[in-house]
Amino acid sequence: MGFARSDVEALSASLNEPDWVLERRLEAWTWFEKMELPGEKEEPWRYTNLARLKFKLDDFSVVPAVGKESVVPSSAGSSWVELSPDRSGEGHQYGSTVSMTRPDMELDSGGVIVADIHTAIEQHPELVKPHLFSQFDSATHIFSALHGALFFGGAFIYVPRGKTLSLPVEYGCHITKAGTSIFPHTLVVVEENAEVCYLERFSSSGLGGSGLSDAAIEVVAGQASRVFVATIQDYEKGVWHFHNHRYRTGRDASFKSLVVTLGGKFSRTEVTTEILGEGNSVDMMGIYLAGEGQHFDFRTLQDHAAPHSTSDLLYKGALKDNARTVYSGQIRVRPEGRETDAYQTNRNLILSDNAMANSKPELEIENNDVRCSHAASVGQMDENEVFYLQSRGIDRISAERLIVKGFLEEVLGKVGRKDIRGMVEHLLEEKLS
Amino acid sequence: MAIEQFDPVLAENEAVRKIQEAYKYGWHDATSYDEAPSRGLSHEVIDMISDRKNEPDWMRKNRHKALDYFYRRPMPTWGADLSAIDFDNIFYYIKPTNKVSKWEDMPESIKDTWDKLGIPEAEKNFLGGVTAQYESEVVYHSTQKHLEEMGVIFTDMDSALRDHPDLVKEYFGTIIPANDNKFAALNTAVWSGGSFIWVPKGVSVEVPLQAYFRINQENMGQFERTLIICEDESWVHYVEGCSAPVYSSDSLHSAVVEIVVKDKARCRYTTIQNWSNNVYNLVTKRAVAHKDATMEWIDGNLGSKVTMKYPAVILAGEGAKAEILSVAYAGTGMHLDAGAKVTHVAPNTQSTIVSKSISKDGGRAGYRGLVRIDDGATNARSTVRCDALILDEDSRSDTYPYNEIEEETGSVGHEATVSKVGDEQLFYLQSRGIDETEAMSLIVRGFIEPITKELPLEYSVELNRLIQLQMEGSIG
Amino acid sequence: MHDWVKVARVEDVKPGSVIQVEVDGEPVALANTGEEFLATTDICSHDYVLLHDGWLEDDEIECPQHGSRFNMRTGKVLNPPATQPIAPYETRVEGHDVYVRGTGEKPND
Repeated sequence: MGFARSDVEALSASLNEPDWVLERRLEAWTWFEKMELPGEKEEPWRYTNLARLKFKLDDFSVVPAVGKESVVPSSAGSSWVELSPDRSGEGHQYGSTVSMTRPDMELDSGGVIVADIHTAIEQHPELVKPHLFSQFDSATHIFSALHGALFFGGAFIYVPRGKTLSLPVEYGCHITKAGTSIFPHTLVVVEENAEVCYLERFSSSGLGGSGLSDAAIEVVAGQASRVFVATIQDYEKGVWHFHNHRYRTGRDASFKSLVVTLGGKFSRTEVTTEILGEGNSVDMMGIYLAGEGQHFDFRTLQDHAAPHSTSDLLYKGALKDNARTVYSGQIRVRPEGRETDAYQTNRNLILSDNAMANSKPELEIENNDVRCSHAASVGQMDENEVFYLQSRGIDRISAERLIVKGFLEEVLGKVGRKDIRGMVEHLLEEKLS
Repeated sequence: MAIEQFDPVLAENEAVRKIQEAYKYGWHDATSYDEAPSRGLSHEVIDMISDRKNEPDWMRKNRHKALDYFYRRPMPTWGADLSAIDFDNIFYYIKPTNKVSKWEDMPESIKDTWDKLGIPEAEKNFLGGVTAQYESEVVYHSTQKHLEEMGVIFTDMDSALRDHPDLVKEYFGTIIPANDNKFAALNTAVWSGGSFIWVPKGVSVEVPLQAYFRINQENMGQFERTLIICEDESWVHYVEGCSAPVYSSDSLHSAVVEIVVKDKARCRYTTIQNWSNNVYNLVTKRAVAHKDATMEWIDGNLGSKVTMKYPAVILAGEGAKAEILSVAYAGTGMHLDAGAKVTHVAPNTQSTIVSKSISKDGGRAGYRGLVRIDDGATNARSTVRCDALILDEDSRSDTYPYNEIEEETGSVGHEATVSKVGDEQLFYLQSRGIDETEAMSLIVRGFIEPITKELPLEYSVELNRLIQLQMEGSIG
Repeated sequence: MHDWVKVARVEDVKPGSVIQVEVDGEPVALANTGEEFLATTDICSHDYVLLHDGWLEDDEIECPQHGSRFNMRTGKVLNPPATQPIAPYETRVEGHDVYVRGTGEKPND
């Protein structure tokens, strides 16, 4: 068990990768070799001690016999719930196989590319090379280093100028065998005035053990583009999930991200939106339901490096049993970020006396022409509300469910897209019942 | 044609002169001390301090142990930049003169300082007692007779160790252990001066007790140590003020303040910190509030080069309350990393934190705070409100709140805003014939009003006056 | 009740010192006060710090990080910044061996 440099070389060879990709992998591997598991003394990990959670990298290994297939498996696994029948593309990765199809064939005419990342590296290096790992930094911590060395699978989407994909592209990441790990890396490049919605889902079924999911996504949202990125993590309880989101938005872009976290034993999500062009409108949304034995950790950054932009972050979650959640987010307004409006809200609803929530919203403001605010709260259900619902003949459990749904409605209301909203509602319904 | 040459030395002198002009308390006295002080820190320095004070052995041992802690601990890498502090260049102990209880008995040059600061005048008018510390030692102390008759002890820490050794030994270092942090360790090793207050059961001290701390020597290290014990159902309001001359190299102020507020007692601790812009102000303050007790920190930070200070309350008894109100005003060359910490340990405890920070002329002001609700602190409630005003585009504001909630029935609400002075607001005031400087300071005064209104009149006037000086000094 | 676990030989823990041992997969601080053996969880309730790196004085252990002290017999916290107790463990000496067992109290998390 564990990982070795030979895993990196074997993977790269099996994919027949160009030298520049192997070089990036090996550079990341060098970082990996130098790094240790982060500890609580490191501020970004203040409330998440992996040693105390008994996480060991040696418990995992790569999936042997890595390969690439062009056929979608007939069944995506029993846990896979078909939620959006209409898509502009669909992909999956299972263990060592990766596939991507484009049901929407009219795409071909417009220069849209929907492919798995390895096919894209092979066939469209001129589009991939400038962006792949341009935001993602392997040196961030040991999980980004390992990811950089061993990334496998993930989608590549390229939407040329003026083109709109009205249906979402969906990509599913699956862990199929206990003790194995996946490292999907997705890259989405959206040109000027183009539009796309990308949905990435993480799941496992019948794993019967632990798994490691170490994923990353990079998005470049061009001038006046409209981009929606949703990720839904619904692993079984044995999975450790690390996900690094890097978003960069150009002038007048409208960008939304939604992070839904429901499963896994552990989930660490890092989301950075760099606002590089003026006139941006950015929405960052998060929903989480944490229960028995789960530890979720969210870390967000709204980085305003350009004037006249608005960013609005809203993360809400409910905690049951002995769940533990951490939210730490920062709004940074650089000196160039004049006339910035930036908001950040994290609210936690505690449903059991063993649950624990930490919330740390931060502001770093280097410009006076701003309007910024943040709010955080941790609290329990309003007993009056429960009492009222009970007085109307609703039992306590149903009342609790209604209150949680009402609590999360504020986020759902901001989603805007009916397809994504419907899917998330469906999943929440399932989780809460 | 005359060619003007840029002379960096002249320019710097000019800059220093401007700062000195703006900082009203920036003079220094040409005092000659009883003996020539020496710089640097070592176990020998500690023995020297301990010898001079003729301390009991446990305190000497305590100091040595704390120095080892200090050596062992790394410098904090968060908060403000402390890398420029040169510990070898600091005077750790200077005894300026013997303590007196009449202002007239003080050496002229030192007495002059207090007169300029208006301390004797304030004492006459509205204070129950005063200690005045100059460098390392308290040089003046007096308490109103009727307070002494009620059994209130208000004295300097060195006298307390001599006259009330059991009380001091019982509490010293129990709220803030020597190894709490690097600067608490330093203070425990080299502490000198500070106040000791003991308020007997049921006694209310109706007038504030005041301490004033003055640094005069360049590169001085001032390490006063304060301990306040409020017995059941007592009440006291303690006020401290501080200032120092403007020098071109830095001084260090690192105090430790420990407070015990017993059942149903109330303690209010007000600070008007107005160090000059060459003082590192690194202070540890913590109170423990027992059953139904109330602890209030009111913290005005207007000066210093760097301040790192987070007054803390541990709500250890059921029904205890904490209120922490702070104002930070950071001007040129200043970084104020101020805040608050509250730990709810017992049920039905409440805390309120209100922080107002203003940054201007490249200054950096911030709030860093922690609210923690321990498991078992049922129905604990906390609200935090932080507002920041940034007055120009060179300045910066940071907010770092930590909320840790381990108790289901606890609730924490945190809200913060950062904004600039609205153009409409300024325009309106100017249209009424108020010039820009005055309009700005009106707005700033309004901004901090929720805190000034909590101060006794004399202090709210003082705080507003200091802010006025800051505003004028930098605009004009 | 948990089972007794043999964790050390008597001579492994010099009088006045503390070592780390493992009981039921949890790190435990085992102290020899000179008169008896005492054990608690090895993790301070304030921060993730190993207590056995700290200082032992009679039956009290001082956390090396921020100076909180705990009574090793009861787990009680004696001074801030920690405000929560730590879990005590039972100890027993049999011949040359030291045994420790959990008391069923929840160790700190």
